[in-house]
Amino acid sequence: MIRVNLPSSINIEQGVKAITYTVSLIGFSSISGEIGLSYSLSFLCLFLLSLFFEYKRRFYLPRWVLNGLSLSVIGFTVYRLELSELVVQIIETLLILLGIKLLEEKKFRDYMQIYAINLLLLTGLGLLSLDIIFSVYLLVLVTLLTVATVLLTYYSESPELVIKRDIALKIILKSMYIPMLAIPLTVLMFVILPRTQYPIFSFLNRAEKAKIGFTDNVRLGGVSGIQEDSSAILRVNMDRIDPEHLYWRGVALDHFDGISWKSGTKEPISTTKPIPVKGIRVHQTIYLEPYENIYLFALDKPIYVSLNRARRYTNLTFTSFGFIEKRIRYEAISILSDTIMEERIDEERYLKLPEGLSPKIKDLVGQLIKGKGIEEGIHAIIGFLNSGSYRYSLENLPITKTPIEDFLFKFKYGNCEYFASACAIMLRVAGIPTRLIGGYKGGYYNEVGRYYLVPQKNAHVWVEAYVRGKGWVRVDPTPGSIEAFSSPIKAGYLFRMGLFLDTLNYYWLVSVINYNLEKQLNIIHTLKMNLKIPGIKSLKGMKKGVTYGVMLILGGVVLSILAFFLIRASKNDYVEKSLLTQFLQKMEKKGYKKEKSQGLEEFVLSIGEDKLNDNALLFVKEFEKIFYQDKPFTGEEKKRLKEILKKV
Amino acid sequence: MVNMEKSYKKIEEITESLSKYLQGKDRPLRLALICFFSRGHLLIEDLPGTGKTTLAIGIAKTLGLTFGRVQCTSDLLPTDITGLSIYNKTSGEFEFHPGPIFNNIVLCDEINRATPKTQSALLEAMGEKQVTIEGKTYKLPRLFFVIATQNPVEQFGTFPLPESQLDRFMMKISIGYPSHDAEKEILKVGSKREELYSIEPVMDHEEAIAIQKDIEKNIYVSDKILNYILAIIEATRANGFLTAGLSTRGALTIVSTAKTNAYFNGRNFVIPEDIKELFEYVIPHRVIFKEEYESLDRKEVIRSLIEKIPTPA
Repeated sequence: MIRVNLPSSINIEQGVKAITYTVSLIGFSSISGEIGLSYSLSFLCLFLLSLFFEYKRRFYLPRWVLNGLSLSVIGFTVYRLELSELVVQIIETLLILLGIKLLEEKKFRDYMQIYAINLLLLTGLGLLSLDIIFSVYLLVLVTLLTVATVLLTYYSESPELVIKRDIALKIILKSMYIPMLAIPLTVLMFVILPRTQYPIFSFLNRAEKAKIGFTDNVRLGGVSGIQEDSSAILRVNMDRIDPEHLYWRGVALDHFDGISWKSGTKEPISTTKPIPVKGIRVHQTIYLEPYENIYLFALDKPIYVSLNRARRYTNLTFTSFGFIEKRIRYEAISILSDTIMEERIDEERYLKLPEGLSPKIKDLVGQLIKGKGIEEGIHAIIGFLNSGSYRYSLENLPITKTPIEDFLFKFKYGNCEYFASACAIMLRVAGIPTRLIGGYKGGYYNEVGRYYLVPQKNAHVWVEAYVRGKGWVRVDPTPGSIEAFSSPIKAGYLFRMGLFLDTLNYYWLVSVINYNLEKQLNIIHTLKMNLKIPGIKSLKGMKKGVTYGVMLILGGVVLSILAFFLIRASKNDYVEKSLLTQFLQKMEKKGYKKEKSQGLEEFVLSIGEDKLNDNALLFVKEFEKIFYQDKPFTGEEKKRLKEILKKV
Repeated sequence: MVNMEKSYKKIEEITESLSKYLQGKDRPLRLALICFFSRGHLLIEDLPGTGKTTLAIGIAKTLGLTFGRVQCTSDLLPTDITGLSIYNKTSGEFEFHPGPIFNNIVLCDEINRATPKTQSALLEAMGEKQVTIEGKTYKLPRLFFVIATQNPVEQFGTFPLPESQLDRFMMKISIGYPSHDAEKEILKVGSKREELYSIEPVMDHEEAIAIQKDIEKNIYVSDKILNYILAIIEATRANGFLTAGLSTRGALTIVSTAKTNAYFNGRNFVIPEDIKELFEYVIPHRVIFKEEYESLDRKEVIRSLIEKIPTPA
């Protein structure tokens, strides 16, 4: 090939080469500070050597030598692999591979490989240090690589192409559009996506009106309507359980002033203190969406929540240190039980009635519990509220100053807050201490992700009544079965669809959002410690030997996989196929497509162009000589065929 | 492999020397030669006067072979073909007088005029390469090539060959009219039949046998090609137009004609084109069409079938 180096024009091959070397140098310099000196030096040697070969000698090392070299480098890496320095070691290896790659006679795919290695090097830098310099390298490298790829496309079409300088400039400028468009978009996506507070599939959300949801301030008679909100609040990874147990405990409220419930003083208790609850223990991994409060939800009767600086209170509620402003993940252990055994409680506090409570209520309670014991009395009151004369509704809620009285005697409908409040107050009138528990009820089990999805609309309030000798007993006076809260069939088609799509959401948040580099590195560190400490302490050389043995086996596996691919690549079938595809692709580019049922000669002879014909026919005849005699392709024949192919 | 070049030249020589006398009949000549060197027999379906005899004589003469001719009629007896023993008064014994079938190349004109009995005697001889007369078996010459002709137009008083008998012919071809120029040339100089008898043979008996052997032994057929052939056969067997596809004999024929074709093309291995060039002469007369599709063009049906089978490369 004669180099055309007119001052006003550029040979495309020279352009691609120049950019490739520049890119490699930038890739190297980006990570040179992080790696061992010997690697930097070896890369520089390889780099200079390839420049020398490329421009002075026009000589390239045969591929098999380089492949062997690459293999041994990989083998060496595997041998000295240290988990604690995984990233650095991989980068070092990649760098040497880059150097070796530069030595090769480069074809289209080699250039692409070089670019890919450079990007990987930069990614490695990102894992090691997130300096501002990283973004500079990123910008430069992405821009250069885009230009290089565009030029490479021209090059692959015709290696001898010579373009005028102004046209080259135009091409370069045009190809700059790609990173210019891509980078801001990427940044936008980067900023928005992981920080979104709502599911990506946002049709689960509706407009933010007066939404149903959790609150630690249950206020009655304030709003006239509540809109259902299907967006998720909790995703709980656990085994499926009986839906009867699906109460997600959040807050306990004990003070009622006639309109709203508030939480009195709570006493935090040590998280290690044993809890007086007996039953089946259930382990949960909970993903809590951000919301404007501090309560940590868990399946009813939670005894343990694994969150840094989380607090536990005597009433078995948990709070986080601050407002939950981003999505968090925590583990929780709950005991499935209806009662909390507690021997002494502040009865006065849980029996306090609001001032000016209507005597009608007292009369009603008196009638209901006449001559009954505590538990019978509770049943009587729930039975009264559930008798059918009271209706569950989210609409046309009465706006009033005396909500309980109006609910019981006038309107006779309301949401769970009305039912629970009325129940709690009636029980207090009857002399039974009560408190309101706020949280969520039910949840939809996703079999694929093995988690419960609890939407905002499942927010619920229920009552805990204290029975002497037994403890706090859960009482849910709101009519309606648990199915309304846990069966997706009843929730409508669109919701079910959303539930299905939420699986993606779930995996996204499990794998991406909670990804924490430090945490992962910690895991690696722990792993390393686990591997190493016993080796030094107890069995000395023995365990170390095992570790090395494992590494050797791993290395062997990697090598044999590589060897398999190499052998396959040199195998006859593969060579045959690749030669043939190259030929057919070349012909197709020229506008001639072989019919499947056409023989090769038939195909070539069907083409009218004489010049094309001769070389193509020569190729086909030579190819057939080997192909149809089932002979192996020797290196020489391969070379010859490739040469003919070039002329086609 | 060694004498490939030389033998290939011989083939070229034959075609060259004959093309003088058979103007515009290159293709039938080539097909006939392929058939001959593949040790098969040829059926020509064509009108009278298109040069069938000239072709047969030409081949016989250039190859230095003997030539016999049988004109089939409805009163032709099997012994008229095979020969018979006649009592010799002087020696007092029966003497065998071989019939025309004891020649290397036998032209059997209008075979469909002969009675089935005679036809089957001929076809049996073709298949077994020997005849048995009055309890004695006589071997036919090693080089034995029958060219049978059929008149497609006259159907009255004929006994068309049944499909099972057609299978014994390696190829079924038609010669067709010569091209305009070729015909003009013929008209100008007149028939060259007489000269044909005096041409010098380009090879002898032994050489012809050697070439036959060479083709059989030294032409390589790759597994890829065998798979391709198998795909064709299976396609004929699964085809909706046909009640019966290719037999195994048919498949063997495809292989041996492809080998010879490769040899004729100067190659010592078979490529798909070797098969594709010949399929319309080798396949159509071996498959049986469903009654309702009898009227279809047989070649076209087979062609469309072949067009659907991908070549190995």
